[in-house]
Amino acid sequence: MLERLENLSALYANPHRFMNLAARLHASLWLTAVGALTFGLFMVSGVPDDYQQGATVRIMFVHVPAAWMALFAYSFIFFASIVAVVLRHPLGYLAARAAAPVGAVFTLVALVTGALWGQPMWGTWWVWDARLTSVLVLLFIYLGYIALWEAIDDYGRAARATSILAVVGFVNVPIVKFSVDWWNTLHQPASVSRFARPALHADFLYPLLIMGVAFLLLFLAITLTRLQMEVLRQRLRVRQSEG
Amino acid sequence: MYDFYIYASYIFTALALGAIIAVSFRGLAQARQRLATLQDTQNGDG
Repeated sequence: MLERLENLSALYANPHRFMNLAARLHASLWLTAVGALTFGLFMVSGVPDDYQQGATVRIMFVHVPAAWMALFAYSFIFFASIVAVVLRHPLGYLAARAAAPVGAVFTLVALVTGALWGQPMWGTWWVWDARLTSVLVLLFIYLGYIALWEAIDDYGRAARATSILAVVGFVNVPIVKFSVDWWNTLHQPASVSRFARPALHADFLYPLLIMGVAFLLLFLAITLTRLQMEVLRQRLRVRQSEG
Repeated sequence: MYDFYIYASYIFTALALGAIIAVSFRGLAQARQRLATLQDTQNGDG
């Protein structure tokens, strides 16, 4: 199993081969992401008001996908770090580094749009409940991860230190996900993950899922752009050290 | 009644994502340019 995984990863371990693949994928990925986002926003424009929350339910279509991406991006960083450490894949560290600012932005969007939704619905911008606090901790972990990359000059040492932080910080991901089940929180429990009997009406569920796909494609497109940037910066570092 | 909260959410999301997209493309363009300049310099030296 590990050998098959190594063979698969070795296929794109060569940064030249990866850059050729990325150049081919880049434009089509961006076009698909923009198309999905446009379609999603079109769907959201036709959503009726909620019987309890009124028009503020529209905030859900940016808040929830941003929160999904905050967790997805950190999981991506975790797995990229594992791949880098275990398989010694040269792109693993760069992929994790490329995704971190994108994940941090999605986390910030989730927090700010959550506050903008909380004020009219809960009567407060912020409460120190388990869900909100654990997402704030996630933002601090992202910022710490980004700062650690910048703080250590030696690339190898920075890569190892940030990988350790990424793996240790992953403990917070299930805490964020299950905080609404483990503790009594003001934040509502998950509505979409119960596919057998989702708590959302189809009028809200399908636009939300489309916006979720659009945000995922956007995350992948931005991360691919940043990964190309990181590969080129790495080439620069190598050439400058050689020269 | 709640228009402020809805528009503020969408505008903040657009600004935040727009900023990370702009920074990423600018970084990619700068990295390409620096690498090309370095290659030109090294070719000139060689």
